[in-house]
Amino acid sequence: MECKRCGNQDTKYFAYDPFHENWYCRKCIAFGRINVNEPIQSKRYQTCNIQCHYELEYPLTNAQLRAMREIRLYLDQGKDVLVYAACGAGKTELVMESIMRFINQGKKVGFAISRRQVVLEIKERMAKAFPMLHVIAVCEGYTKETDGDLIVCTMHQLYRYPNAFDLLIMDEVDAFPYRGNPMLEQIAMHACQGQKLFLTATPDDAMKEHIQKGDLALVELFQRPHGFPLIVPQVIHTLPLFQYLYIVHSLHWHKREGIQVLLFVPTIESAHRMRNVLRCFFQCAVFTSKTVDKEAVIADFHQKLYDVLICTTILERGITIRGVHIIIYQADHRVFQEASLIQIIGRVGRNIQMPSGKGIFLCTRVTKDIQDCISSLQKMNESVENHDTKELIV
Amino acid sequence: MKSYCPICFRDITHHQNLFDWLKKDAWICGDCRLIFKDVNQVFHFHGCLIEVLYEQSEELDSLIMQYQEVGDIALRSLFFHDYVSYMQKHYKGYTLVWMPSGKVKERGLETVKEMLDEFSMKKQELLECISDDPLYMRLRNDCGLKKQKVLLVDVYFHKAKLQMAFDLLKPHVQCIHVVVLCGDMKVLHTMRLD
Repeated sequence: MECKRCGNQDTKYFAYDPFHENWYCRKCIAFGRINVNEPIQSKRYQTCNIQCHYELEYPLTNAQLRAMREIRLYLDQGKDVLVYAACGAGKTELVMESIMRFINQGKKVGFAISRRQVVLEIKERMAKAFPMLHVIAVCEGYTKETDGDLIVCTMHQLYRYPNAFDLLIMDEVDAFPYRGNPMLEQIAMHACQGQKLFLTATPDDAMKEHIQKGDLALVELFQRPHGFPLIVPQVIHTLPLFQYLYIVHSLHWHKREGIQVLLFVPTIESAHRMRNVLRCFFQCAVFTSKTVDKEAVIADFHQKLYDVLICTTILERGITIRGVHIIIYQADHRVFQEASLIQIIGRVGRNIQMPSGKGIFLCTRVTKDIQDCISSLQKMNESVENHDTKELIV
Repeated sequence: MKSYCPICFRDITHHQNLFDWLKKDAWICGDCRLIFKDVNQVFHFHGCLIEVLYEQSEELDSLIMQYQEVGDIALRSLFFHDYVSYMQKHYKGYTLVWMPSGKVKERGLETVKEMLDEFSMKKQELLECISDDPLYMRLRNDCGLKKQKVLLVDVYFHKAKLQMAFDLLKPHVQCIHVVVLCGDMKVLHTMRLD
């Protein structure tokens, strides 16, 4: 027995319904009931016949143009593509050309991301770049309208679109909840009847395996649009009490220079504890998954109402804040894995006006994740340098 | 007995309390057990006693929703499981009557009736809905009431619905007791305790 939607074959997830005399899968029941052997009904979503083009505020760099050409080449060959790019390298801008080409051919394009916060941000960016298209966001709280010219949604919402997309772009595939979740993977596979384009800054071992097998084509881009290298963090290992003192000291200097700081802490409780200490000296706010008015806190931080924003790993991805420095308190905690650390350090220097910045990891011991993070950032920077020298020689 | 929790599919001993672990007859895991918060109070409503089993909460609501609306039939005997032996003992000689639903055609089954699957008490279908609105109900023609004691069971504490059922049943029965699965504590606290 196999569930057509989530691919489950484990008998414990199947239940018999004596009233309708059929078996159904309980693993993916949250997406609505689906009976075994019942084909998934694919709704036909409208395809638009608009000739669209995209508008960007900044012109693309040579490295971005090269990556874009590679993506186009592989997609034309009918392959699935993995874009392995550094944080802030402009992954979203890279795929716009592919979106444009597919829509102009009358095909359906979907953009799926793990986090709701990022869905809303990407939707705004897409709507700005494609003013002639009706771009919709589908995520928690935004489910009234589910069909548009370009659909931006969370991974979970893909269950609404069986066999709907000719091109499915999946961002942050290395992030929770998509990573290591076979049910969501299967749902995503069902949503796409054509090609898939994965975007990530930290590919996992399974993806690397697929690349070696040749199932996936790899496109790399480590150079940020402003050409500055990625920021390699400074690691300071000291006792927790001294970490507190260091934070207060460095925040004091940053405040003088007018630089805002994102302070990452491992847990929600530690975030509140940190706030209780820091609010004696600075304007600060807490941002966790329990925060009620998330949009308002972020908007206030953008307007520089706070000197420091204390947050958990919820803010590690997809968020662009101008000219911010980051500090991680207890970077040796187990929630800060290599992928998280790379993403967090990727929040620094995303702006052309402020391309450099500081990232500080405070820890009591240097873990393997911290070492791996630093070595992969250095590798990315090296490969950019090598590439640049090659281009100069040519 | 199953070794995994039918709600979350984790091991049944996951976060289990010592009492359940010693008894070895738990049917859900320790985490899912927290969804079912006991009320242990009896309330007065129009001269009848209403026993509310659990506190209404978001988690319990979504579980009931999963059973009733999504059609996760496997959950049907889970809701009253803890109270089966208690109710059979305490309400001996009563006839079990369930609140009718207006969505039987749509769902393909009488959901409240199926929840009472495990009960060995005498059951009788006395009420039926005449439209999709559950408030429009009537006595069944073939019910054959004989001044018996009736135990009316419903999922939610819904004043108007209970009032309607009382009006229909009261002239024909000896007494009515009500058991509801869950109720909103804010509403219940406005009522008189027994």
